Amino acid sequence: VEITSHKFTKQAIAALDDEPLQRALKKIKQGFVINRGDAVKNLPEFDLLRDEAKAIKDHTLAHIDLYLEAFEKKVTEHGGQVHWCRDVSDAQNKVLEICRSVDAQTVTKGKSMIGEEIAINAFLEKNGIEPIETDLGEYIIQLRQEPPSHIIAPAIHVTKDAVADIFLRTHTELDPSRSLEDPRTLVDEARSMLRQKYLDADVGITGANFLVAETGSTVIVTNEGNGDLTQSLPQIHIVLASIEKVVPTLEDTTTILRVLARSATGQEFSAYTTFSTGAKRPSDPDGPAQFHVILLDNGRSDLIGSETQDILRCIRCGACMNHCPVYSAIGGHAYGWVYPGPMGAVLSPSLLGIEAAYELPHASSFCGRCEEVCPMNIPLPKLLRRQRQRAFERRLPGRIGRWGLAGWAFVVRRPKLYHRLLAIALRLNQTLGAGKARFAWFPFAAGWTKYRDLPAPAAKSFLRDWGAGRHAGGSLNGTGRSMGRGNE
Amino acid sequence: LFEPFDYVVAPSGSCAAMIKCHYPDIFASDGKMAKRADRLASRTYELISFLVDNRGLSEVTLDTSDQAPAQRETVVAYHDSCSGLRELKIHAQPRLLLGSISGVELREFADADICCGFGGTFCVKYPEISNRMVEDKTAAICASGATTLLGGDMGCLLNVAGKLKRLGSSVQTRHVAELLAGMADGPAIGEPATGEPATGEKD
Repeated sequence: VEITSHKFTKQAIAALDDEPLQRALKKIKQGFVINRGDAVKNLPEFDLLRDEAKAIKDHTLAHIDLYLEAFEKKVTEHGGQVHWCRDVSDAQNKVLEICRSVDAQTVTKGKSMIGEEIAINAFLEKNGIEPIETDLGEYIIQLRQEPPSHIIAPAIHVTKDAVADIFLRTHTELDPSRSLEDPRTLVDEARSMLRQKYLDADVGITGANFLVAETGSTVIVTNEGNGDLTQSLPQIHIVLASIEKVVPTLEDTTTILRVLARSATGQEFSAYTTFSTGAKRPSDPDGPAQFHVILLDNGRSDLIGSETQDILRCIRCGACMNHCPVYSAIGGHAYGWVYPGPMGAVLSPSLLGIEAAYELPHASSFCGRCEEVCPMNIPLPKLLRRQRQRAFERRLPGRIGRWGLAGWAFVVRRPKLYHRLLAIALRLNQTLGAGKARFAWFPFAAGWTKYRDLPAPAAKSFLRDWGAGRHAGGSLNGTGRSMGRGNE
Repeated sequence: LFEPFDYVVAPSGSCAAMIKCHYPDIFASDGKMAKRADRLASRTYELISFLVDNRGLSEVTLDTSDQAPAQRETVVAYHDSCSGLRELKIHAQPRLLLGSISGVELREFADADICCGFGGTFCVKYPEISNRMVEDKTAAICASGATTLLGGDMGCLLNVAGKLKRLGSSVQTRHVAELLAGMADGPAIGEPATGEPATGEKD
């Protein structure tokens, strides 16, 4: 995936004018926000579970080395292998090495954000191996040759008509005059196209929602069942996972599972929750002969103990972006990398470096809805603020913004100067503003006045009135008129 | 400035939340200042929350006898400002007081709790995104049929009033305190003191 986070503003403006995208984004509210609200309402202990889920992850992160080693030990006991990969190229090369060991031609793939993070599809293609996405959304965007725009609904930006269009263009072996009006036909067509690919694939790659230290199991949650076929039919199963996916026990896994699907889609549980433990045993009827876990760090261990460690609790449910008014306005592609929305605006600058993605944490009104819905109680606005601070320390925001803030700080720390300047500004407003109630244009405020009028300030400041004692007699007896207007 | 007073009351949720929720964090590393910040935080309230939560106010009676009948009957909508709602938990308080005033109909509108797009410097750093948000907000307000939009945060009110005026809407924007204090006959935000035709001319 090409990283374009530095072009955020341009991409965001383009997204606002993208009609099909805007129509697609409207579906988020019905599909996710309302369903999540209902699911949470129906589970009175949701907030308690949330606290518990947070505690589990905090504990795990504090002892992550021990739990990862315990996980590896169990995987090995069950005939699998864990590959510790420091960065993207380590992980890519390890996957390629495993594929080459069986001379793989095609690889089926379940949905995996780590797969996106290490851009495994492009890498395999470059090396002559064909990756085939089996999650419907991922399959659609693979055909369209674009990155996902949402972490659980990768093709949320694609309308039904656009899906029909790409199927007609790429499934050239089918009758070109067939009707693809009905969404059901689209699903059926994708399914029939994929069926044989599952059987032909030499390697199946999936992600992981959890790594269970207690048993060495990896866990995926899906709604399509594609993950199960991907991992059980080929002779090799490769799991792509980042280090913070580890949890101590099965019990912990189920606690977090109870908040995961509810927060993501509003389901009590996803349709499939699949636990994979090791390679096929002699007594198993099916399963892969080899089981590999790619354990990716890619900068995460640097976050442990840092001011942004809390983001490592994220379980990738997508609730923060579903509820984010900025994400809802511009969609995921504008963020320019794998992780969009509030969690992405915290994580991307941490993984890519603040220089590459400093705009993302600035593109927030800090409305706090993300934190309100986060099932892992991640204080997202606080973390976004930390990222802004990091950007400021590196002099990244534009000079005008930085000088403006510095100037403001200078003035407001000197109350006398502030009041003198305020008085001048109010007088200027009286004379130059000619008593106007609002301005359609104002010096240095084009960002505001391009879209809205700027209401004019009152002629006298509150503190001047207060000082003159006009409001001193206001009483609080709740009888309306006497409040604040006591001495009239 | 505020140390001699028993309470500090701010007419904007974001200002109150800054002092109440963020000052203790900001000054945490500076022992002496941290204590002062904590003391200040515990005494600081947003206005409506102060009236209801601290002073126990539960109803407001307005003497509207000197007002024209048209002014006595108002349909108002209340916008939940982010800082007030999420940091200070202000939701029921303004509704309680507004609901108690005779002649005032409080009409809930769609997505009242979603950000209006102001967000401090956000609105000028990302004016296009901010504009989309305030477009959605004003569309929901206009669709509700309310004639007055009330709120408890000057930032949001400035933003929403500016957009409504640009759209030429007749919906008035006021601080919730103006109505509670019986001052809703004064000029609304962005309107001249002398009163003007409902649709208003553009400056």
